[in-house]
Amino acid sequence: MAITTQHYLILSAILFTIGVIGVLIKRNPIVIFMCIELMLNAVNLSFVALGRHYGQINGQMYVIFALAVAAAEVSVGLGIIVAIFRSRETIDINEVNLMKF
Amino acid sequence: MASSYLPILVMIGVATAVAVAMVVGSFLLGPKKPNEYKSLPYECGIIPVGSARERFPIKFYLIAMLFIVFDIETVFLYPWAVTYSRQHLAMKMFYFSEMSVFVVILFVGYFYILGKGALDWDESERTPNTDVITPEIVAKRPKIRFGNEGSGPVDLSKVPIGPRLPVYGASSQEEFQSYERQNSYVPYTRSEKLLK
Amino acid sequence: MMNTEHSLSAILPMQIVMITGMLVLLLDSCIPAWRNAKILSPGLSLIGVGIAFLSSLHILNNPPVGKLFGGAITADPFSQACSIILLITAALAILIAMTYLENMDLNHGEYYCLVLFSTSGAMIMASALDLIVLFIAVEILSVALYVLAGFARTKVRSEEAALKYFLLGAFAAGFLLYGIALIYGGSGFIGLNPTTNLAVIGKSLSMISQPPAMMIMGLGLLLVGLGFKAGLVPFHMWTPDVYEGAPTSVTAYMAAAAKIGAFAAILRVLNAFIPISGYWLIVIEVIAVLTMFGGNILALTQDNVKRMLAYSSIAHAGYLLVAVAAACNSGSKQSILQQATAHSSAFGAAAFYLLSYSLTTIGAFGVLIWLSKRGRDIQTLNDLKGLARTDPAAAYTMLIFMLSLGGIPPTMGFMGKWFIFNATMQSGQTWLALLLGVASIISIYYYLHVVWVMCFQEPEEGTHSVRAESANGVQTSIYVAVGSTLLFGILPNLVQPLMDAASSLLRP
Repeated sequence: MAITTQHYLILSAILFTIGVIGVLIKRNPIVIFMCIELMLNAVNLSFVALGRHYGQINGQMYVIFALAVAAAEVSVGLGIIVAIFRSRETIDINEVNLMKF
Repeated sequence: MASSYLPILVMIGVATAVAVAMVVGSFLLGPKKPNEYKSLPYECGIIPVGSARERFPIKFYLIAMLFIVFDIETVFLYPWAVTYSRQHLAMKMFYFSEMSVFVVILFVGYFYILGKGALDWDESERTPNTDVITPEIVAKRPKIRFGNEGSGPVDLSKVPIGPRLPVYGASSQEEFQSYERQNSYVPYTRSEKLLK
Repeated sequence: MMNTEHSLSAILPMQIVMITGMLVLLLDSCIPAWRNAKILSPGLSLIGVGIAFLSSLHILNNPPVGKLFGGAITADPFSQACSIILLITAALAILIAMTYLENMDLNHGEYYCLVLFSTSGAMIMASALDLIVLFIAVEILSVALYVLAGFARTKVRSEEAALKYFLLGAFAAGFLLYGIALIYGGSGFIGLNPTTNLAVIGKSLSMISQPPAMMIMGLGLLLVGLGFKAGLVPFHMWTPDVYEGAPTSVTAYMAAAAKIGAFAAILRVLNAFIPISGYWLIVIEVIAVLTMFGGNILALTQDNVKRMLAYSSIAHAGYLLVAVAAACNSGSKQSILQQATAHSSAFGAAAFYLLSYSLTTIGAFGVLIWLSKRGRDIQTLNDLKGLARTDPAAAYTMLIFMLSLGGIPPTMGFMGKWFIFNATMQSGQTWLALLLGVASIISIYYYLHVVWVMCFQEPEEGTHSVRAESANGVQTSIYVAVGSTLLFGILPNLVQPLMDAASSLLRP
């Protein structure tokens, strides 16, 4: 059985869905953030697969940009999480909840 | 097509088998003479002090964050280098100037973190931001240390040790220590050993 | 190389804003002991924004010809109109921040450079023709805003706002990127070279009858991502918390700039997808109605003014989405000429509304900053009780902003709503126009409630008229906002060049 572009796209969709579900059910910001990274990397997979399918370099180029953006997000996100931990000694999403309707 | 995955499958199988064989083999064949110190977590020969879930200084996170950003930015250099090597001389200058702009922007960020002291490892020269870290928080924090460095000679009688092992049967610290002495835990010098 | 210089000169405004941001950053780190950063950094930022404004005006009058950066970016009048609105917003935000940061002891130069970076991101959002450029622009805007939301590091609410904004924003970015990937994949099915260029996609979509399913899915995900940034109703959960928790000056800037950028992007993306509007127009209409009513109804019960303004900003996003729906309606009943007229008047209305919304929102938050005492935020309605007696100037400026947000003449908000209403009627979506009217009538209640609290309630014991110290910045910004709200409300023709520029974006 040959691995076609379709397989990559389906795998990417599955990974993306796992990421989305993780974001929705997890309580620890770091884990949520890892799930978001999973989503972004799932998309990267489909970019590469599509670029290969069409014989274009664009797909891989987009991945580099997406990676750079993800790295910027990681550092800002970790900075925020560390700042919260410093002042509260917890980062549980249920406890970081002062504001409600 | 599927047959091309066979070597990978075989490799996974062999790797698993070797790992399992090692663990099971040492479990079956190895002599079991547990004592207090053997059952302690292994920390490069240092007697463990405190919990293994130590806190790391926040500086590590800072360095990690900075590393991620600068690390990923260099990824852009590789496609650029490949394209650059295929250009004519006139275009090379142009390509070089474009990458210089990119690197200058990176250096702006670098000078910023340098100027802000994010890379200063020794915090003693800087005053801590006291309004962020309240004294209560500081009081709650365990002391940050690595192994037993800087703590001087370790007094064995004060090292916290878990419940006595039944094999051992020592009920008090003194009994335990005398047992230790008898069983030559105290390291001998080479000459002493020879004398015996 | 010639082409590159041409391209670079066409994005001069963004370059100026970015370079100013970097200069402010270096300045802040190089002169750590210099206490005068409170004048120097904002001053430099304002100068940079001013130069960028002039260069944007110049490009608006002499639009560059040909493709820029291989078609990835455009400098058409629409993008310049959005840039001009953004730069005005940024200037006002810098002015109000001068006072706020001083009062809250947050005087760090990074604030201004983050504002400048996010402004440049929003400007690129308005100019991006390629979807991947759009993605990067969205991230430049948002990453700076995440940091700004948590700028008051000592306040737990601010940190919480930053965390929420960050997690949900990054989540939305994932959807946005997946949408782009699927559109890239789908564009391979419609004849041309697979691409993420909106102009090319729009052109090739207009020549086919059945778009690939992948592309429609991609567009849906793209809209989810942009909807998060714009705060449309199913994706609005972050808005009230972040607006309440973030420092007030950040909230003012965020409410205006993020919305301008997001709507510029939504308008441009959906404009390219007009040929297949049969598939998504109804979704946009439904979201517009949900957003208008959701925002307004949730705002009714708030007693925190910041939170109330957050819900009201959701409602305003709904009104703007009505304009988007009007711009993209290509109903078969009408002639091509009528469609084109409705299209351009809707774009003009959207631009006018964006300007009016940003001026009034920044002004309203500005009044809150004006009143905030040293180290203490003014947030609740209780703080505003009897303001007309203790501090008439602040009360009456707030009154004008509330009237404008509620859409009552003779203010800019009224004219904006009127333009959107007209455009929607022109495009033949009468029901949407009527719902817009109903929603704004609901909204008048809570805006006037603020006015009632200010004018007809007794001031609480112990509340004196204490204004913020060194309030020159915020005062300037409030007077500019009040002046233009009234002036453009009475003479909307003055904004006509901007509206014409915005409406020059053609249907594909």
